[in-house]
Amino acid sequence: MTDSALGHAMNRRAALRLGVGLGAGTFLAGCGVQTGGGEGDADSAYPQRSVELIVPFAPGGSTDLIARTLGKAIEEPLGHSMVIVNRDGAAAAVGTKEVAAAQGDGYKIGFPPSSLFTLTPQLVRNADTVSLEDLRVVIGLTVENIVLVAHKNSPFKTLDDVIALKDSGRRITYGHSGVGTGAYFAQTAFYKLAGVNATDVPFGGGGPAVTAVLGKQVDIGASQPAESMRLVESGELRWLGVFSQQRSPSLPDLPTVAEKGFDLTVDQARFIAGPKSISDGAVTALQKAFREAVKDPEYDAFLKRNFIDRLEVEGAEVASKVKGDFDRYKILIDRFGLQPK
Amino acid sequence: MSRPDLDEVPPPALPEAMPTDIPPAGRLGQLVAAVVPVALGLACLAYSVSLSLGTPVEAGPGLWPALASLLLVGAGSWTLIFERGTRDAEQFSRGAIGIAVGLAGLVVFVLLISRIGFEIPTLLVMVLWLKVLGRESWLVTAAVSAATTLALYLLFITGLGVPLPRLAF
Amino acid sequence: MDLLDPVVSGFGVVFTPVNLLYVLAGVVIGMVIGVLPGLGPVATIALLLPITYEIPAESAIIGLAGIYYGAMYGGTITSVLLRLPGEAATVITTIDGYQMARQGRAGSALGIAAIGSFIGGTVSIVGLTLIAPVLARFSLGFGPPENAVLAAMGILLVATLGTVSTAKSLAAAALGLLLAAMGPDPLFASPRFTFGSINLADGVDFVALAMGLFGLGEILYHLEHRARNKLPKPTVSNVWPSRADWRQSRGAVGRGSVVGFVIGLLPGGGGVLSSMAAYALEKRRSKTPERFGRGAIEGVAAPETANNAAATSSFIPLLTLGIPTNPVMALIFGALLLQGIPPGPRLISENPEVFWGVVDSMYIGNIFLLILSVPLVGVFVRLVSVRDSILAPIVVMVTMLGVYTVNNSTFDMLLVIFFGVVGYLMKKTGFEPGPLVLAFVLGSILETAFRQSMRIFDGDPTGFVTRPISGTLFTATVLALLAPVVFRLVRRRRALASKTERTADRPEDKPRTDMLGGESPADTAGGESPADTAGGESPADTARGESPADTARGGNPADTAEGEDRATAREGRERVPPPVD
Repeated sequence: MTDSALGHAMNRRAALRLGVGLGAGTFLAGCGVQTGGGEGDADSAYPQRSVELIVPFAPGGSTDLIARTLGKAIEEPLGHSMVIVNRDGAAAAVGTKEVAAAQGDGYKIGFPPSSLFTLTPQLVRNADTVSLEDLRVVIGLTVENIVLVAHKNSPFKTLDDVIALKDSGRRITYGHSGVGTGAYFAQTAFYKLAGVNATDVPFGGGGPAVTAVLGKQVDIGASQPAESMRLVESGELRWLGVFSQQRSPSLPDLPTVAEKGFDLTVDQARFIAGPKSISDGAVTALQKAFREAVKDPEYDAFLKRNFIDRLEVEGAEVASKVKGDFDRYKILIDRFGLQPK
Repeated sequence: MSRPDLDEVPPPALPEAMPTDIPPAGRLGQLVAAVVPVALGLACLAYSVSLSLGTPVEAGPGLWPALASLLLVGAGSWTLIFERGTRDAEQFSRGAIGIAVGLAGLVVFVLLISRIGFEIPTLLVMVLWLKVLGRESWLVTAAVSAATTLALYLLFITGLGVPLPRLAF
Repeated sequence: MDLLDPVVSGFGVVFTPVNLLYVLAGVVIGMVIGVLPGLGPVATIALLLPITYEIPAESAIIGLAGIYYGAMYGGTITSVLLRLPGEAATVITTIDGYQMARQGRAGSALGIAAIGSFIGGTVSIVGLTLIAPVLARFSLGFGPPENAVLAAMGILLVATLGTVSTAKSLAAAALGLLLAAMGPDPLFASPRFTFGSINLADGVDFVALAMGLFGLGEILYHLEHRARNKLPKPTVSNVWPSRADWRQSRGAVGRGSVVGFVIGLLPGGGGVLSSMAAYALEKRRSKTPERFGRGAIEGVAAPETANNAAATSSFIPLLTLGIPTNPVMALIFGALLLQGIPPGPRLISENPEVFWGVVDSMYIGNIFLLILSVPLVGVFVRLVSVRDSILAPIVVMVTMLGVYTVNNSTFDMLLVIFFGVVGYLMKKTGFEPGPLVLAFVLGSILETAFRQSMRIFDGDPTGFVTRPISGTLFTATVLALLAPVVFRLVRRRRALASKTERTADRPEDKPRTDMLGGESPADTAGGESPADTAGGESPADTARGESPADTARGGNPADTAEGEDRATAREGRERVPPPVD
């Protein structure tokens, strides 16, 4: 090839390459990448597409089931579907952190438990934690009590039986769903306050803990009502009391520890939250949609069946509850030296 | 192989002792292979001790990992001392370069997919493995890569609804 | 006929065209998804959970149960053909199943797995039908101390399953234990070995570990060898087991059914433990244990039967007491809850159509599985006979995407790559991944159960022995450990006694079991032939018995005899082909 011909060919090739490159670049930039985040606020038109709800627990658990039931109900009021994404890990920290780091357009929100902010940081050494400051609470949804559970043949038929062990020297074992959970903290604080000699035995979750009580592997245990209610209904287990000030509306016959003189309220609240930067438009739209969705009769039936109470309050109230719980728990944790060693 | 109606099943006919065509590693290689588990075990032991060991009754987080590390050190040392004669370890042959290339491709794949979705990186990795490592023809490479990427898209996205990062059309 | 009434009416539930369709769909979908590396039954059911809202409860659960079975069998397919265990219970199958595939006997392996699964499942269902509530109570008696002893037994079994030196198996197992320790401390929930990374905060995911170690590691290893020469794939000799295959494995199937059924009732490592126990039982019972690990068909029949039996019996605690014993059951539990049917002791009385419908659908599901596997085995085996250079990237891609579905995490993909390198290095240096993975699963169970038990006993370890169930298990374990030692002593004494009758024999008359032609009686006693060493001792034993065998050679087929003997002496095994890589 002569020089000029070569140069000619080179130019053409270069031009071709440039053209393809520009074209591809434009194409890609135009497409954008759908990982659930977009750019900017689309306030008035939110939502434009389906919203991701990050459930920070494994599928099949109670959080997951609440989310899925609600997810069905919210499709109509929201105008788009709500996709449940499970992001299990580090006692809800993994999923919640992802929400805290999400874009502020409101297309990725989460469903964290209050224990992540009130108990985990205080009871677990070197825990992965998220601060409520990194999130904006959209709306509260549910609250569940903690109940004390015993086997039907256990010598403990009432709260008084447990309290009577005080200073008796007899040691009991109690099962719970893990060191950072309400079931653990409520029992530990209770037995310390009551002067009962008790050793905790951790299990991998509410289910295994209840199974252990059923199998008489431990003397007593605690759980959220939903986790043990079937066995209580069939008579295998018995609820002794609930860790709250007032009797629960769904459990009116169950005495509270407060009635026995113990000022110990431990519960698990769950709420919808988005990243701190979430747009006001998205928050308002979500609040409206959720308020509609919680009226759904199927959701209502689900809550009732599982003894879950409603806590449909504004974000500010949720935040103040969380802070209040944290401080109350701290007093007991400091008093009994329950911090991680 | 027809259906033998014997009481005893004869051993299957095989190419005699399928040789690993890569020669065993030299003495140094064998040594390194045996030392690595021991070294690893010691490192883990040190780390476990730094988490508290506690007592057998009130075991601290470090107790069990420490025991496992001891087992690793023990078993590794046994291999080192008593089984140095065996020639299990192989050399790294030229084929190992292919492995490095293949792995590099996979790492790039993972890094890319959260940025540009999974379709393009999948296609690229398939091409890499088929053409460069597998030395297939361009036709086969193109056909298989495209077909696989499409099939995966249909399966995971359309069929199963998995939230993979992907290009939004 | 009162007892069978509900059973029969349950069939009425299943035999509606709609529900039959659900069973079929479930089994097929389950199989297809289970075949994909990375997607096991847990992931599949989780993905399909939302679909179950719209359909009636029995149909939903019937479909999910079908998926469970199908996915387990799909996992078996990948274990045998690609050495990729679908889930922990199929890790054992990779040991002999993959070897069989490499020898061209994949059809036999998969076929016997299907038959064994069917039989194991049926035995289990019959047991379930007859004595479900009683059995559930039995499983309640298994608390942390029992789990600890079981897991300890399992870990000890692990060491006997390897085909290379015991020391290397133990080293691999130790590494597995260490990997299991990564993540939250089981009792304090504080992070261990996480190096500050939130992605490691919950430890290593089993799927990422297994896919990387077994799948990617194997592929990388072959990649290197492929570069040297093109190894031809063995032609598939048959797509179904022969009569001789069946004769060899039927004992294993029978025993595996019982083992699986019993162990499946127990919480925790039900599937893994049952397949391991069944495999170990066969290996110990066998007169030629050295075949295990090199394509012994019992090595596939036993664990496959056991884990299907266990899969079925694991429904029992769920359906009778509302206690899920593994993650799949937990998901089905959730599905039932969503439907408004909380599983518990009153499920049988309040929703008998659900209970018996599910149970009866299992019979049907098992039958469908068997029928479907006949053509599908052929299809899959031929699919996989595509050349490695094409198959490998496809498998890698499916694996990578599949592992993402477990946790929706790209970090898990990096883990697969990391463990792929580890698996490759392990293969190159002669360590086996099987013990690592098994110890990984059992190790965390063992640690948790042991520490829980110590808290229950307030530090007094005699509790393990004084509790009835754990005490029995403990004694059984000790006996099982001592048995081979005792047997060997007895046999040695017998050999010594009978040798006095044999000094007259000429060396050439002796069968090949005796490696040392033309030696003195003393050598016979000292050198045990491999047939005696049950449970696969290391070559060290047989090496001891090798006297100057090479030098003490007479005439006769000297060359072949000598060459053979030297070969057998070096390997310590005879008449058994070495594992095909």
